[in-house]
Amino acid sequence: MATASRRIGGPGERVDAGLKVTGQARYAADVALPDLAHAAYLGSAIASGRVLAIDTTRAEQVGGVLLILTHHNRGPLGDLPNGDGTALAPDPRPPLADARVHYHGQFVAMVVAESPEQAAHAAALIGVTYEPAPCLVDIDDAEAIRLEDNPRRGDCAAALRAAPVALDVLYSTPVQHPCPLEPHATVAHWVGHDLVVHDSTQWVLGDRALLARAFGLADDRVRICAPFVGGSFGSKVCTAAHTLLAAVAARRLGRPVKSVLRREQVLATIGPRAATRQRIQLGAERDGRLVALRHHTRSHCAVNSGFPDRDPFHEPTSGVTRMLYACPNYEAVHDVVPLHLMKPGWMRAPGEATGLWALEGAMDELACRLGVDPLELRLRNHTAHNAHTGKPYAGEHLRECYERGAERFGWARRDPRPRSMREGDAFVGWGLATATHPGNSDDASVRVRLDRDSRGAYASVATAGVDLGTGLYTALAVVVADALELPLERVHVELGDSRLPPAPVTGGSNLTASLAPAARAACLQLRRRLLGFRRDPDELAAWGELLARAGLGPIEAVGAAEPRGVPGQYAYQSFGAQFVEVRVVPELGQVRVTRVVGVFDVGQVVNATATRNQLIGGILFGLGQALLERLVHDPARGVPVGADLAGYVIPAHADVPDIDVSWLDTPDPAFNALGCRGAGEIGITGVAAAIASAVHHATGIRVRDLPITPERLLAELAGERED
Amino acid sequence: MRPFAYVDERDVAGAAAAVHAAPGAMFLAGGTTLVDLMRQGVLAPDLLVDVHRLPLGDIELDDRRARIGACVRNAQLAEHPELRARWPVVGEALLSGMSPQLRNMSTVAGNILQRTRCSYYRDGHSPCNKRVPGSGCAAIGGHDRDHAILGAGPRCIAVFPSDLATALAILDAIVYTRRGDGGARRLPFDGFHLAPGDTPERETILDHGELVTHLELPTLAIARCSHYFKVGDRSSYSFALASAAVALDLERGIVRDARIALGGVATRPWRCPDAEQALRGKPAELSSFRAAADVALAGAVAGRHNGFKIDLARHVLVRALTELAARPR
Ligand SMILES: Cc1cc2nc3c(=O)[nH]c(=O)nc-3n(C[C@H](O)[C@H](O)[C@H](O)COP(=O)(O)OP(=O)(O)OC[C@H]3O[C@@H](n4cnc5c(N)ncnc54)[C@H](O)[C@@H]3O)c2cc1C
Ligand code: SF4
Repeated sequence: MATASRRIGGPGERVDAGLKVTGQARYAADVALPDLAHAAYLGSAIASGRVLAIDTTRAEQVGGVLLILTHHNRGPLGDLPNGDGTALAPDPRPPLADARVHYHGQFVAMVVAESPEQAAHAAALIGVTYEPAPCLVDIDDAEAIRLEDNPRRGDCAAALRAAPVALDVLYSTPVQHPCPLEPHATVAHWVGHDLVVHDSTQWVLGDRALLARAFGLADDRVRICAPFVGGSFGSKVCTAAHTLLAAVAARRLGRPVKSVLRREQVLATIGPRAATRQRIQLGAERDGRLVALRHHTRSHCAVNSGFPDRDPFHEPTSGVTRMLYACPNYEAVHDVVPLHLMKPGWMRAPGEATGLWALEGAMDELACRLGVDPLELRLRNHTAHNAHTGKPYAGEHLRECYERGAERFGWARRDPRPRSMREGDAFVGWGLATATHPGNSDDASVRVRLDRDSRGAYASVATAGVDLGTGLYTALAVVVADALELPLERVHVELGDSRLPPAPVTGGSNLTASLAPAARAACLQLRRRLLGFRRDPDELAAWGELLARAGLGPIEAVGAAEPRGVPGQYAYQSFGAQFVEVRVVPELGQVRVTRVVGVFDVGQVVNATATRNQLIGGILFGLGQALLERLVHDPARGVPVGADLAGYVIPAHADVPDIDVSWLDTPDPAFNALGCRGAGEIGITGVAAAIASAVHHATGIRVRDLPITPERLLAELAGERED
Repeated sequence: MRPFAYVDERDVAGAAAAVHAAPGAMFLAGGTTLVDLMRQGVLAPDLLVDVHRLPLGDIELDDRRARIGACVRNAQLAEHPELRARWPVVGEALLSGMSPQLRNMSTVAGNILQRTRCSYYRDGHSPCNKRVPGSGCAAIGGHDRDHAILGAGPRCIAVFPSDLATALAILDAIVYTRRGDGGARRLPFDGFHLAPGDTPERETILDHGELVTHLELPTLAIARCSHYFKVGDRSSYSFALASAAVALDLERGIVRDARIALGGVATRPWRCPDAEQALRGKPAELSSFRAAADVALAGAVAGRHNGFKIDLARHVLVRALTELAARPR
């Protein structure tokens, strides 16, 4: 037997890196098929109202045009599943359903032509007459609908009234967009009566189920391929409208159809992170221990969300405020505000990224109010069980994260007074916040096949799970190489095909936690089968030799994710502590993050490179949320303003500070056989609050509205001068 | 994108004549402005005359001046050592914006002829007097956060975004052109760009088919002591929220002469002669710089969301002057 290789948690290389840097990794838009036709779309020029007439005469005359679809001729589509756990349509109405318009940019026509240029040109020549209706795109201007089922415990109102210290603050977040670098792309083609779709999706089985229902097909007549996806951040969970239309058009034409969204179409037709307004009321003892927490959120939804028959999508802000700190009395209330915008959806750490912004901001304010160190305040309110369900965490190491982070950052040297640190003309400030994300996992399966060639044994690993660039290829290769004691290059991983063993959506940081244990389980089955062929229990024989001796061809096993422990006994949660240093040049309104220390407990780390990458990427996402990102819609017409990557500003390299991420080596064995939870989202959580806390420490200015732009800081300073 | 014809011109007169002859023709240089806007349906030429291979790609220097070919790449201009010594503000302005890829691709003439970043102009369908004369202006009363506080008119408030042009505004630059009918012009940079007025669709005094062939920078002693300072939303790859190009001639701590222009806040490159005058004869210190900045912004008008730019531009200008005055010389 080869020497044991303890690769789990090691640095490892990215096994797909070579393919990516040499351009051999094929993304959906790279798929070239003979006879490929190309789609383009015309988006609505109004945000609310009806299409009265569509004139396609000029468009039809453009050379190369093959098909123009509008709501008049799109043809029937089956009832699309939504919210039943099998698949998701972003919009309750399928695209081109009727004349109604609910947001700016909603597709009103699709053109398919021999070339993308012809299709785009023809789409621009389509004349549409609208009957516009007033549109509402500002969450502060529209009426809210109260949702039911709000979590509560104790008597929050009474406890707030009786609390010796009370805080009542309003935090806000703007519409944001996941804006992955790879635009949403689909190539659809029909092979006989079967549909094959190359798609940029986080969930091949969800895509499959939705398309099967739309076209009245059995699931196994639809195949979805997504071997490589160039980022997603939640925006590729739902089956996009253009994917459905590409399949419709491909069937109509009997030709494969490629559809790649333009950047402004991504920003207009793919669900954003909902805007929120969050009122946090805290009641505390004089020592800072919380006695009451009330969290009232308003978040935007779409006017056509299908409410009340369907979930309107409410940004789940209270998921984190209810569980994080020990507090006997809690109440959350959630209102949704229907707007003429694309239905919002999940964006990296939905609920946590927004909810922690409000809660951790309020905690920082409470610490200042009481003159307690913000870290000490967190410790005083620490709980070793989920504060809402009361279930103990199977593995919980938040105190250790705080401790280690404080040490690496040098927190003890912090002078609590605002404006106490200067560097030249810049004020320097330090802030911190808690990071947290639930440990999620789902039913998942992985097939591992062991075979041999002239160089000995090799393994082939396969699952329908999708690697969004997050490192799943590497994680599975590492787990299998480790379990079978094979060199990494003798493990081949195949992903993102609906014909492979079923896997859940890549979302909620669940995939490694679901698939890595499944892959390991498959390997253990194979080992058990082969070890029986040893001459005696101490024989060291290579797998290839055992395979030969057994007279077997390749052998394979399918492993399933098997959560251990008594279901429902424990709570599973990842934690972390984010420490941030900022430099603020007040008169320029400029905030630059100069240092971040993040220490996380994500259970067992499967691959250090991918984990670092995810945590740092998450922190940068938080930096964008804190300082830059907002998608503005014109108040009168509902059109997105600056709908490109020059207008929707995300951090550039020069904005990236010195980021020190580390993790505790703390497997959570009750969670799964490997003890690993995901690391894809926790990095972003808490970052914005930590930055705002540091800005306050630097300048004395408390910003409660994201992003923290020059205009906000300048306005505060102008106010100061007048005082 | 509308179908169009394309010719690759190698001859200066031929290029000018080709565009002159066709009302729907445009020059194509690096394409970093033009191709984007064609994709958006904002500009829809039916003929592109590619000028980037014209013999206008050299920088010539002598004691009296720099003569910069229209097709010199912005990267080439930014990195030229002698230019950086004699006109530091030029390289600083170029390096403060774009990305290395964009600087490699784009040209000097294209830079000073780039279009506004006004989102309503670029989206291809909002009311916009610059794109469709007479259609209105969606930015006025709309989301005007990035719009102009200086030089705006009742028909258009779009910022002219070029960093390079802001630098050129303080350097007495000259634009040389070749016209479609064979004539040539020598145009002072001051006055080259037009205020929006009643015709926001006309951005410069160039005629149709008039090709920019060169830029000239006359040798100026004060230019050796020049500086560009810019603030954008992010640390790089960002258009200016406010920027300042400044030059100082100091003698024993007193400002003998000053040059000031503002970027990111005005509808055209915005030279500030009154602020320059306010500085002359004053000690090179914070209070003088602040007073000059107040003069520079005296005529600023705020819209709904861009009022912060008045303060910001003032601080940016003070910062630019302070940094420059503190430079060892
Ligand atoms: C993402 C992005 C970020 C940017 N950031 C910045 C920034 O921070 N600061 C900044 O200043 N700029 C910035 N720019 C703008 C950039 O500077 C311009 O796009 C570029 O300089 C244009 O040069 P070009 O050669 O590509 O011009 P083209 O796109 O080829 O042409 C632009 C215009 O000039 C005309 N033209 C070109 N050459 C001639 C000529 N010789 N005679 C007459 N007319 C001519 C064309 O007909 C066209 O109308 C940015 C652009 C992009 C895309
Ligand atoms: S500001 Fe000028 S460019 Fe912008 S919409 Fe108004 S007219 Fe058009």
